[in-house]
Amino acid sequence: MSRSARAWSLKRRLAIRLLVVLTLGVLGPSTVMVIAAMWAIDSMDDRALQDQAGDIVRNLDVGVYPPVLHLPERLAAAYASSGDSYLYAVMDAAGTAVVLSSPAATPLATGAMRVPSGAFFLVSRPDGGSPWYAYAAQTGPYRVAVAQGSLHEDSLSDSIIRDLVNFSLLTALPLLAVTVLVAIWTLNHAFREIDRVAADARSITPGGADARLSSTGLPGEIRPLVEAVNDALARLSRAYDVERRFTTDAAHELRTPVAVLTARIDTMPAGPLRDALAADATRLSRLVSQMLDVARLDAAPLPVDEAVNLTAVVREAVAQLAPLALRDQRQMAMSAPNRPVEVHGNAAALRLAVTNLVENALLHTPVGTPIDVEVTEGPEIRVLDRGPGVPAAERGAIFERFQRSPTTIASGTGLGLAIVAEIAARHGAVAGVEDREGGGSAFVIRWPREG
Amino acid sequence: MRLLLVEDERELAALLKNGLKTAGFAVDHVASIADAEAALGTESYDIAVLDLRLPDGDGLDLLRRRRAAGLAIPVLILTARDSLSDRVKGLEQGGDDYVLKPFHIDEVVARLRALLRRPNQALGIDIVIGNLALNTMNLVVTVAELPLPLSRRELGLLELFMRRAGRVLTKETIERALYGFNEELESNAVEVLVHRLRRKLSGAGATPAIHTLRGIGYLMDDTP
Repeated sequence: MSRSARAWSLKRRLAIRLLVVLTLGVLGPSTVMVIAAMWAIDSMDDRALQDQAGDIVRNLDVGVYPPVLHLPERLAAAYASSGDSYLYAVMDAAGTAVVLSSPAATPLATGAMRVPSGAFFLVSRPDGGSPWYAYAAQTGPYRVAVAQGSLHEDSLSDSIIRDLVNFSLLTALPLLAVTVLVAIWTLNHAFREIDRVAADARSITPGGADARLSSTGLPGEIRPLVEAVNDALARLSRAYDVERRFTTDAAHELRTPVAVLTARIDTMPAGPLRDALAADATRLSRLVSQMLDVARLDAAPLPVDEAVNLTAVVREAVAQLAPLALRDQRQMAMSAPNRPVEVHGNAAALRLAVTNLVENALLHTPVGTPIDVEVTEGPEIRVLDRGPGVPAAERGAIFERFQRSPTTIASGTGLGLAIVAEIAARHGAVAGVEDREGGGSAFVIRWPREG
Repeated sequence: MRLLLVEDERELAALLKNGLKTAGFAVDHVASIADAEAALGTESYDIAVLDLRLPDGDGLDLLRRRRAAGLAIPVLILTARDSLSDRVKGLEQGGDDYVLKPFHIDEVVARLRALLRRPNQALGIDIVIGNLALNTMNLVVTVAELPLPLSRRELGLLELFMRRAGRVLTKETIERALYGFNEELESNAVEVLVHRLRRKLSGAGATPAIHTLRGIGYLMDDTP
């Protein structure tokens, strides 16, 4: 798809169209010239015959019978030396040949009597060679006929046409090449600026300061596009700022009352009521945090372009939650390859995803059961428990917002796994749950294999 | 210990003030940057608790200004912001630690005590967990009042554990804290050291335990 789109680039299209237009522009006039030349050659033959007949008529003394032809020396020599290529004949009214350039002219004399005066006609040669081209004229009672032995048409017009074509190609080909090169150079120049703007655009990240494209040096045709994109960027940036301010404000407005509640519960005398209220406050606090995480993920695209050491990020998240696991008498362990597993992504978001997966395991599996975390070369992150497992029918739904397994007894918010799925998707990875060998679940964030 | 509390939310401030007083701090409470500047200008405090979002500005601006003017006391930041960049910003601009809202008052008190035990504090202080005590000044360790002799490195590791009790110490953190850059380090040096310390503690009958979290790190707590 992208390959064929690139193949049909503006440069290629322009080069091909210029080639077609210029080829037509060169061949068209050349063809017209050749046709005109052929016509001109035809009429040259005709005029030459008429001139030839005129010479005979002018030099024919009709005062005697039979009339006498007094050809000037030069002409007489030319006829004599033409080897029957040029012929003439004069006939009286009865058709009797009275003057002949040579005995070979007899068929010309016969032929001339069968056509009207002023006609061009062909006379076949007795030896079967290519026919004479002939012309009949009338002077007084006498019919005058002249003929040329071989038509020049072939040799002469061929050479004229060859000259014309050579001339066209000699001038047209360099012109063609120069035009295409200039067009491509002009476009390359314009595209270098466009490439620069594209590089500008690639460096824009959400929340980055002053996200705009520079329009200096751009061709006037492209500038309106860049300015329109800048306007759009400014609008998006304003919307992004508003969203970000909203989530920051919301974080403060939501967390403060929960903080007051938590602090107030801390001042109560110890007892089952205080413990229950503290658990409620903790749950409320987690819900607020996860709602804010969801809002933050929805509000803006996540920049996923830092090089992240997956092992380090996962270990940090797991270390944060390990005290909770120990409080629940759980074994917690992590394994990772010796060399660092690196992905392109967002370290803070990946840490949040792992935190949610481990919290999910802490919430949904019995106290005392172990939780194992693995980072593999896949790359993938695996959080393994020995809980009841997730029925196959519920495996898709539990990654949707506010979808809790109907069989669950724990009081999750229904947001944790949705956050995991969202963060995985933003990284081009997939979050899922599988059966763990030997019982329990394996929650996995898996990147597609490269290549 | 004299403590300045900068928090504009009235109810939260009142609850915090009570909790901190109960924990033994002498608390002055102000609710704005202007009042905080005035208090820091006239009184001398040992430690401060600073909310970031205040009616007349950002607590981080106040902190940066006072740090530039020579404020040296530890500052614990209270924040509703929790994205990584906010946290890094807070610590870069002079915060010593931060607590995310909502919090338990016990947590705030524990963090404040940890900050006051920082090595740059001139006074030696006893860190006590269960029946285990460490005086950070003369480096004497006692289990149930009886002295426990430890090597220099074991002592360093124990102080690290006790300052961060209840939190995970990764192997890398321990290596960075106990070994110099140029020291040749066996790959299992930390494991061996932790093993020796654990054996000495349990041999002496200490109640706090060092838990191993395979592939993650170690954690000391006093859950019997």
